[in-house]
Amino acid sequence: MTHDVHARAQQLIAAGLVEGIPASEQAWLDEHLEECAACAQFAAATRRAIEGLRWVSVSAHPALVQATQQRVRLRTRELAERQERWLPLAVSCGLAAFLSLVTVTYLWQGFAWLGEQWRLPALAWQAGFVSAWFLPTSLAAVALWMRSRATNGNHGTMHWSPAPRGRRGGE
Amino acid sequence: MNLAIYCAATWMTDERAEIARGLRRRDPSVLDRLIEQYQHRLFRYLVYLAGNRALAEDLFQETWLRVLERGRQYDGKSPFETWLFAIARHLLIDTLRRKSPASLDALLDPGEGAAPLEPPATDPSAYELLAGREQQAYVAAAVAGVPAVYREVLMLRFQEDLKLEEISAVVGAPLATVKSRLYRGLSALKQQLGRSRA
Repeated sequence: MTHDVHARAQQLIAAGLVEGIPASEQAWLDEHLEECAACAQFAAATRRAIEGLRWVSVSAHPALVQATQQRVRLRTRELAERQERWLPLAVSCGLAAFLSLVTVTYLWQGFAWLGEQWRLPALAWQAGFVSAWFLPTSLAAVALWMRSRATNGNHGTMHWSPAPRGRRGGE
Repeated sequence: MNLAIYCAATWMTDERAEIARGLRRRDPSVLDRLIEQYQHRLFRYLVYLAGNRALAEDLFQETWLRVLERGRQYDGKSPFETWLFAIARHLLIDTLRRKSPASLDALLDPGEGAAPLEPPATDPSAYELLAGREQQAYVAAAVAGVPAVYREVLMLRFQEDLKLEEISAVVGAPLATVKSRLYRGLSALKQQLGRSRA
């Protein structure tokens, strides 16, 4: 029996566990393991390693789970409230955008008329038009952005007992 | 037999669709049930991946908040746990990016001699704390010695029983990379077990 045969067997043992092997390969492997003590030992060691992974039990503390559920419920409520607040705002914005589009030509004509009456250069009344058109929206956008930043920044980790925090950093 | 498989598959699809609907509605009862149902699996994944219980506890909470906020992205086509683990993984990567870029390298870009992602010296090993019995302690020590990037796929494959494609989706790596990590991880685990026994 050559070294290659054992290498193939060991490769198949790992492959069988990781991704599965065809029945013909499995049959060859079973036959080989019956004859070769070293490979059988290798197979047993590999199986033990896998079983070892399942032996390690790690479970979440009930207090952590409860704290998480509580925090998620609070956040759910927060998000629902925020959505409720945003709905009228979204409708108002939509309406404002619609009205702006409808009235844009009148606004332009109004500024042009004012420019003519006061003998202003074209650039001046056009700048006035642009300000009237964009400034309120820009200010509202900045205010909303600042408000959303302030709202989002205030949720940290919820602490829970029995004080597992003491383990951190050797406290 | 085929009928049983068909029924199980249909039930699973219905279950996923129900989860997806619940998450879209941000239904608190659905979230409560999911937290209960997946608490141990998610926590175990985080402990294995982070190698630090305190960090895993923080990320556990953050992961469920992220599930709540991004729930609309879950389409119910893939298993929920795959999506959940992927969220947890991204959160850990973000956290490590801020706190400890060296640990992040070990997780994202394993070299041949990649160092295991271990807790700081002042923090006792999560595995040692958790493993009560002697056998568990022995295995836990060996598992802790396996580099994080391999420990992660080993755990997903052999403890969570995920399919290779699902692992690939969780870790965001091609199938071939996942397989390669599994083979290397298996080899590293055997070595560590031998070392622990000695």
